[in-house]
Amino acid sequence: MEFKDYYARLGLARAATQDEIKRAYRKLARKYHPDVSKEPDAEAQFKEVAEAYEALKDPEKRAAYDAVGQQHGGATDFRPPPGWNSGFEFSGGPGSGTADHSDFFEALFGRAAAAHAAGEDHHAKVLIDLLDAYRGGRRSVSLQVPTRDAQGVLSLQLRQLDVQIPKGIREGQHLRLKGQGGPGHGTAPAGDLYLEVHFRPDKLFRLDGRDVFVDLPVTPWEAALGATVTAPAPEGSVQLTIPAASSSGRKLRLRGKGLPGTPPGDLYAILSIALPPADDEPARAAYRTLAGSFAGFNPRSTLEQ
Amino acid sequence: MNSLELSISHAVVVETELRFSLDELGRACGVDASVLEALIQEGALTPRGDSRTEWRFEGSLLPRARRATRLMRDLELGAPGTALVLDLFDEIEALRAQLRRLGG
Repeated sequence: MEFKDYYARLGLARAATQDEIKRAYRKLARKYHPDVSKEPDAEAQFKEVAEAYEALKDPEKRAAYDAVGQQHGGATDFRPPPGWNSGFEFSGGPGSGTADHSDFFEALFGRAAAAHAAGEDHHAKVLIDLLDAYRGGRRSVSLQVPTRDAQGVLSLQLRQLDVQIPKGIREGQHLRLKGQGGPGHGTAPAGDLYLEVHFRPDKLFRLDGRDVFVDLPVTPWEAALGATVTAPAPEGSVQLTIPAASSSGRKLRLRGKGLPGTPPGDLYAILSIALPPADDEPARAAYRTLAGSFAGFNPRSTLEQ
Repeated sequence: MNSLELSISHAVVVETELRFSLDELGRACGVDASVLEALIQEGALTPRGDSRTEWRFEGSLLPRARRATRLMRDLELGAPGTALVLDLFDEIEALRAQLRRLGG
């Protein structure tokens, strides 16, 4: 087991005061909290910082940790001496809040005891494809669940759940699966499982709520003269009429072709004008002809000061 | 790692099909109902209904309530500070949505 240097994690000396510990934690918590942080790996970083604070903020726990640290010296491998903590009794219990501690923390301070008779609600994230939301239907999701056996040994177990994905589910919405959370104690009911739904990034389509966006390249003459082109749509392609005199960035709406629902979302094709390459002489000649035909055209006329 | 079980579950969309009582929302957030009451006092969460026992929370409030209670616990924020943070998050999310629509 790896010895955790909680002081180093918070950037503190061992002689730090309780106030200094609190200040260091709060600063790092604002930096790494997954809700506010843009740092890579924020969640893992925050977990370590939170664990360090939980061990050091409570003077009783801190004293126990300091005693172990003195015996332990500088080695990185740590084995708790048998019965080492018999002299301590933690008034606060093994800790509250996130019961997600390192083995080291649990060896020192024990495991968070279940506080409630009823099972806890669990939360997890699942990734689905855009088409799952268009069509709905049963989808198998795998969750890793930390599970304790009768001896209290923690291991990760893979849990397969067949979930009925409702048609029209949107990014960030939650599904509740009743009774699929933490088990209740005795006859108390099990908690519920909440799944936060996210879409796998799609190569073509972007989502905003129920609306779906796709970039659609068109030729200059299609944009200028109008045309009917084939555009990709999540459930297959659609025929789309490009109005004459369209410019780049024009949004064409296909009503009701977004995510299903009441009302359904819309599908937007965003035009971008693609220029054919001028990589041989006939192509360059064609561009020169075009330049001759539009000698008076100045796309920068609006920029003149 | 071994396989635990295969079960089929009926899923309910929280945002559109569910309303929480105060205690249910507290359980879903892993906090005591009094924590949510403090947020309600600040206007950061708004239930329907007149009295504590009649309060019902739209399912769409779940992410907001979870985020608020996480911030209170992890950053040791009080209810007024948390209410301010939530307002700022709302603003950031509106701006991000605008950016997405522009293809940013």
